[in-house]
Parts: sequence; C-alpha cells; structure tokens
Amino acid sequence: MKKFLSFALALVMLFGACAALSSCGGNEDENVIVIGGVGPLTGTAASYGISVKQGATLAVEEINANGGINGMQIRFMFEDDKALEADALSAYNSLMDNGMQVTIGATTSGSNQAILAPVKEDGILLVTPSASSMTSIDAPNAFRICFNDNAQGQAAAKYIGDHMTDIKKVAIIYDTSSDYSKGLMTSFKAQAQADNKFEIVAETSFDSTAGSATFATQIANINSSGAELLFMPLYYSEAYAIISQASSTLQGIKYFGCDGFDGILGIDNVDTSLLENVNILTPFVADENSDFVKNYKAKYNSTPDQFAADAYDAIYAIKAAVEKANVKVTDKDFNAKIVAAMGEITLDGETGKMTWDLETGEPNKDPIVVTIQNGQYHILSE
Amino acid sequence: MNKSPNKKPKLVPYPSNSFVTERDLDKPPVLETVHLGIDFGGLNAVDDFSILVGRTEISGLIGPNGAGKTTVFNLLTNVYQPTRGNIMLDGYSTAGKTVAQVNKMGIARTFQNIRLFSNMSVIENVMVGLHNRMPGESLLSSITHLFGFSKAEKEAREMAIDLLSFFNMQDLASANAGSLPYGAQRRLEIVRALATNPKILLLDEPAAGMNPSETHELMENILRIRDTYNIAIMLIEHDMNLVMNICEGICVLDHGKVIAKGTPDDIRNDPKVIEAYLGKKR
Amino acid sequence: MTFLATLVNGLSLGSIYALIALGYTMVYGIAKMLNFAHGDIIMIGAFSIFTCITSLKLPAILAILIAIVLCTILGITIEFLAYRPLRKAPPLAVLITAIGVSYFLQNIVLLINKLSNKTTFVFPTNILPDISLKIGSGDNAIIINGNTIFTFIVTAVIMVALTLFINKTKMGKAMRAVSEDKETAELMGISANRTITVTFAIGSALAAVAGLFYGGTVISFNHTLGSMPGIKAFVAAVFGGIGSIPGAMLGGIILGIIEKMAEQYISTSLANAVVFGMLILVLTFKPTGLLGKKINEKV
Repeated sequence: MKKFLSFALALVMLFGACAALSSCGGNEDENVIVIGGVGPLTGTAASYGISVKQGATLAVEEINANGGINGMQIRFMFEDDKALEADALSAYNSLMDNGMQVTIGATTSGSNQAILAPVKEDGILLVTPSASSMTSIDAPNAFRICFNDNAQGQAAAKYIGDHMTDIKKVAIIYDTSSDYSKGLMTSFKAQAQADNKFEIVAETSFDSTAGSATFATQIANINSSGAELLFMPLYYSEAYAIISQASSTLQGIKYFGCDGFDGILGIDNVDTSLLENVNILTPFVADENSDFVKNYKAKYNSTPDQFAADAYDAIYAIKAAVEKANVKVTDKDFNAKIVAAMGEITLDGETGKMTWDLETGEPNKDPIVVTIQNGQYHILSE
Repeated sequence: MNKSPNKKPKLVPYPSNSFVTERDLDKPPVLETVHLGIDFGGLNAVDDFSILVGRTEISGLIGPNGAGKTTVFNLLTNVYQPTRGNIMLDGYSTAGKTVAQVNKMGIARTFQNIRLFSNMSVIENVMVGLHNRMPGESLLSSITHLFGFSKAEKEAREMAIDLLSFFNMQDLASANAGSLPYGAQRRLEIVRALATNPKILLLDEPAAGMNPSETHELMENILRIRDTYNIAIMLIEHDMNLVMNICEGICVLDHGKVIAKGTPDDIRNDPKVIEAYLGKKR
Repeated sequence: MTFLATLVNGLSLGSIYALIALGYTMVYGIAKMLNFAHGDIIMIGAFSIFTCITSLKLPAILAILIAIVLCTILGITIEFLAYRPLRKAPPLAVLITAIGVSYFLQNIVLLINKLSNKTTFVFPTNILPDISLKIGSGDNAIIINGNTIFTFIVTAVIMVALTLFINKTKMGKAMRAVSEDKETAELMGISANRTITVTFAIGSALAAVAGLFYGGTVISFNHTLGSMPGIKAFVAAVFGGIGSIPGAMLGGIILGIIEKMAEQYISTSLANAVVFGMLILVLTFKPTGLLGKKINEKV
C-alpha cells in the first residue's frame, strides 16, 4: 500500500511538473507566435533601441493586419537592457519566461554577445537587426540584418580607395572603450593597408567613458598630420562634438563615418553647416516615397533611421523563414526548420536585397554611401 | 488678607555697592551687568558678576591667574553666551545678539595675545574696524559703479589715517601688520578697536611684556584715549602700578567671584584682596 | 607649432579650471569647508543655458544672465540649507553633506532629463560670435576659435575684477578678515554669515560662467558634466594653495597646461594620471601648495 501510494504521488508530481513546465512556457497556442527582443530604451544609446522597437512594432502590426505569419498572429515583446550586458541577460530570461519563441536578439553588439550562450542552448531563431561585432552571432541559430563591423570597415576603406581617388592621406579617430569603434577601425586599417590606395597618417583615440571630453589634442594632431580625410568609426554624438570642436582648425578636411553616424541630423541645435559634405557609409537611406517611411512617419512622427529599417527587415525575415519552412509553432521541429529556412530565403527589404549564409549567419547585400548636403542625405553611389 | 488701604509699605535703604565717578553722575552708565555667570560643564567659571561702569570711567578688572577675567571679557562680547544674568550696554540688553551685533552696539576689545589680521596691511586692519561705519555698498553697486567704489574707499582710508595718527602710526599704513614690532602691533590693535566706534573699550593685559617706560607711555595713551574719544575703558591687568595709577574703579575677581569693588585706596587696603594676592604683588 | 597649439589649448582649459577653482578656494578660505557640490553648479549653469536657448528660444545674452542668476541663487540656497546648520559640526560631516548635495543635484537633473527621453545633450554652438584668430601660416598655422578667445578674455577680466574686489572693497576686506580669523572679524563687527553668503554667491556665479565656456568646449554633455572639471579644479586649488585666490588662478592655468601637454607628449589616456600625480608631487614637497600660506594656529 505504501509503495503504491508513493508511486501514485510520484506520478502526480511528475504530471504536475510537466504541466507546470509546459505552462511555464506559457504559450502553446498554434495561432500565436511570440517574438521578443531587447535593446536600450534608456541610456546614451537609447535612440537605437527605441528605433529598433518602433521599426519592429510597425512590421508586426502590418503583418498581423494581413493575416499574420502562416496564419499565426504575432505577440511582440521588447525589454530595456540599457545597452548593458547584465541587463540584456536578465531581460532575455524574462522574455523566455514569458513564452518567447523567436527573437530579434539585442540591439547592441555587447548585449547580443551576452545572450548568445542561452540562445544557443535554447535553439530558438535569432535575427538581430543591428548587433555588428564579429562574434556576436557566433551560433548556428543566429543571423543578422546589418553589416558586421569588419564588413563595414572594409567597405569604407574600399570605397575611399576606389571612389575618392584624390584622398591620399587619411587620419582616424576612434573610441578605445567601444568594441564597435575598435572593430571598425581595425578592419578599416587592414583593408587600407592591403589595398594601398592611401596612407594612414594619424591614428588618434579617446575614451568615451571618461566623461565629456575636449578633443583639442587629437584635433591638433590630425591637423599637423596633413590628413585630407578623417575616418570616424564613432556614434553620432561624439562625432558631432569632435566635428564642432574641430570646425575652426580642420577646415577643408573630409569627414567619413559609418552607421553610428545615423541620427546626427536629429541632434538638438545641430548646426548643419558643420556637417556639409560629411560622408556616411550606410545600408539605409530614408526615401520619402517608400511606404515604410510614410507609414513610420505617420505612426511615430519621425523619420526612420537604419535601426528602425533593420528591425523592420528582421521581422519580415522571420516571416519569410517561417513561411518557407511552412510550420506552426506547435511543430516539434519548429526551431530547426525555420533556422534552416534562413539559408533559402531572399528578402527584398528596406535595407537592401539580401540572402543569408547559413554557416556564418551574415547577410549578403550591398552598402550605400550618402553625403549630407543642406542638412539632407543624398545618395552618392551604390 | 488683611490689607490696610492707607498704610504705605515701609522702605528701607538698600545698600548698593555700585558707584560712579562724579563727572559721569548726570549720564547713564555705559555698561551694567547683573548677576552675570557662566558654567562650563560642572565648573562655575564666573558667578554673580555685577558691575557698573560710568560713561567715561577707566575701570580695572584684576585678580590672580585663572580668576576668570578673560572669561568676563568673552561674556561681555557675547563670545560666550551667559548661563545666568544680564548685560546692558547703554541700557540695551545684549542677550541673544550675535558677536558682530554686540560690537555694533558699542563694545570693542583687544587681546592678550594679539590677534591682528597679519596678512593684511596696517591700514587695512583699521579699515576692517571701520566696516560698519562706512556706507553700505552692496555687491551690486560695487559692480555698477565699477570704479565708484574707490570713492568710498578713499573716505575710509582718510578716516583710517586719522585714527592711526593718534599713535603717530600713519606712516606705517602700508606696512604688513604681521611685520610690525611687538609694541606697534599692540597699538594697532587698539586703533582697530577704536575704529569700530565703541562706547567702551576692553583692553586685555595691554601692558604685558612692557618695560616701565613703555608702561608709562601706555598709561598716558589710555588717558589720552579716554579724553579724546570720551569713552569708557575697562582693562585687565597684572601690573599693579598701572592699575593703581589710572583706574578709577577696580573690581577684584577670584575663582570667578567678585571679592572686592572700589577705588584704588579701597582695594589696596582690603584684607580679602591682600589675602588673594599674597606675595603676588609686582 | 604643435607646442604652441598645445599651450593655447592648455591655457584655454586652464582658464576654465581657474574659474571653478576660485569658487573652491574662496569657500574654503572663508567658510573653512570643501564644497564638493561646486562642480555640479557648472552643470546646472550649462543646462540652464541649453534650456533657455533650445526650449525657451531666448537670446544668448539673456540665457547667460539667467544662468548666472539661477546658479547664484542655488549656491546661496545650498549654503543656507545644507551647510549653515552644520557650522559647528565636525568637518567630516560637512564633507559628506557636500558629496550628498552633489549626488542630489546630478540625480535631479537626470530625472528631469528622463522626461525628454534624452541622455546626451549638445550644447548650442552659436552662442558666441563666430570669430577666430589665426596665428602663423600654412601647415603650421594655429586657429583659435571664438569659444577659446572669449574664454581668455572673460576669464582675464573676471580675475582682474575679483582681485580688485578682494583688495579694494569693503566686502573684499571683510572676506579676507573672516578668512584669516573669523572670530576676531566678528568682534570687529563683521557678520560672518553675510560674508559667507556673498562668497557662495560669487563662487556660484563664476561656476555659471565656467559652465558656459566648458559646455562650449566639450559640446556633448549630460548630468555628469561637472564631475571631472570639479575634481580637477579642486586639485588646482589645492595645488595653487587652498585658500589663496591668486593660487587658485595660477593652479588652474598650470593644471590645464599640464593636462594638455601630457595628452600631447605622453598619452591621451595617461593625461589624468599625470595631472593627479603632479598634485601628489607638489604636496609632498610643499604641502601648503604653490602660493599657500602657513596657517598659524590661533590660541
């Protein structure tokens, strides 16, 4: 009798545990797919996280209005990680507890890197819009929409060498405390040295974590090096500070930035005359006539930047993969099938026409270079 | 209650041990203290100190070391808040007033071990004393008048030179106060105190470290101050020669209590005073 | 010419440090306390100007005046509420209170900024006239921009004015007297409270001006704008002799030059280490600072 009782109790506990586990998962409704993401909604990088959240939300609402993904309505959740790794990890765990099934990962490289291990273990599909450091998608189920830093750095060096042939002397200024900045700088240098079309005459740096900075020393060094172009792998607020501080000294020098420059025209009190002829390597330019830009503007009252476009594309990429694999969330091989499908889809997205390399998770697409004139972006070349 | 409505209460004479010099009879006393006292912890540093100082009286406060004389000066200037008793300066109570306010009411002092502003010049020390007598020039007006402040400055300077000339020190005006010889520093302290336009001047051991001829000169100066400015002076001193010669009223303190009050003759012959000072007369 | 350029940059930054250091040194000399919240007044000044120009669209002159008035009132209020009640408290208590006020100011501003959902702000660059000065020619030319020129001129004028004020006015003498011997000054009829209030007022007004120039130098700023310059200016005040006004001016300028020279000739990342190292060196050999006076203990 005792044995039977204990066996029965054990079974009850087991069923209870199973029920608890599956209800912990939250959602096994075949008509809902739960997509989640993390990003900085507060902090110095807040504009990026907010753009990602907004772009993704726009895509989710459009898709839901048009029947959802393979008949499943999307439930979208986005948590603030303040661009801090510890916060990203706890946000990811919290999303998983709430039933997340597919993720658009993290907005910043550091955060995406931080959640990679549990993502790998959980096996869910990750398509990050904007994490760009080389190792931040180092998992078989992780993909990205944006260029990685190397690719950007290489593309920048190639562009300057091939299309700006009168530039023979280039200076660099980078942020020693940022992986993004260092990564871009390193790949830029490597490509420049390989192509040998121009010389790097000055390499200056600063530490953005040391608080508001005066760049007088770096600017003086750049000036005395005789550089004709300054490569700035930085985020836009520091870039603007440097350009402003340098405005009287470095006259005639050309400024060249990458995707971190996005948002530079949106700064309060921005003096757009200082930004005349600044070149930016970017995968996205807001075309006033596109539906995406129109709808985004109508909903959020601002022009979408590349982060919003990347996130928009990330959601649509997930849709394409799920529809290619033709599965529902209740499918027992859901994760594996949609990951595999990433290697087969082509997405004609807002940031270009892209396919994915299943091995590396990297997108294959072409970058654009724009220049600022009269406070507006103008596409220079494809 | 048995009250006879037509019977007046019997008045008896109340002996007062306060007196005043004849020449000051028609004027109210400049300083009066009533039962003034202070405790430090459990120690009764000064107790039941009652004194009256005539308008132009030279008053002496004497007693053995540690009797509480400097404590009295600190009480009179409100550096210490009294535990008991009252101080009246020219009839106004100084209770609850700040040190600066008490000075404005008319009491100024010098110090046993000179406290000049040694990083400032001689004339600047005096001008600090003139602070409350110069027209108030606010920060804003100093800015708006820009060089207008130099007019107020000039007036103050002239007054300061005038004060310094009392001791013939006007030529030392721009010298650094800390660099003066000892005697000059003492005189400067007095000039600075006089600059605050006091009604009574407290001098704390003005003759310390002086030889007989310097002491004699000091005596003359004190009399001259009293005669020129028509103020009262109270001094703490150990030099009996000086005290007996110029003080008109003397108060003797021992262990914080008044043991005798009177003219120099009264004090000289008072057995309590002799006992307290036995062997200490210089 | 790099040397000259570095020198110019150092003088410019040093002038700003001097303005801030003056506030520290005056308050220390007269109230005998280290007001660690002083650096954050600069930040308030910068934000005031920013808000006046960006949100309220006021002309530059008005914005600057408002900032100065606001900071002056703030400084006086802080003294009255936070420091005056602690006049008789042990120095450590006052120090901790000052640090507390500093955190308070920073966090208030941070909270206000959260409402606008921004964390980095860009200081308006069109406040001062767009002039520049060119020295030398060709590749070796140095160009000095409007912000730097005005920093020099205004700081020089302020230093002269302050020196005249301290030496030639009644209030100036009162401040020096209280600084040397508070009790005796009171016995001569000077209200120490009033003098201290004026000191805080002047120091805070200077901090507002420093906020204008420092904001214009770094351009990108947030609620922590005042921390580093505050610490460095404090170092400069100690370096020049805490309590000495000429010491603060000298210390600030020298510190700025050392910092820029170290950035240029040693390394940008080691510059701060060099600056703080200099402080340790000076204090080891001359503990009262360059122009500091020996303090005589009054009995």
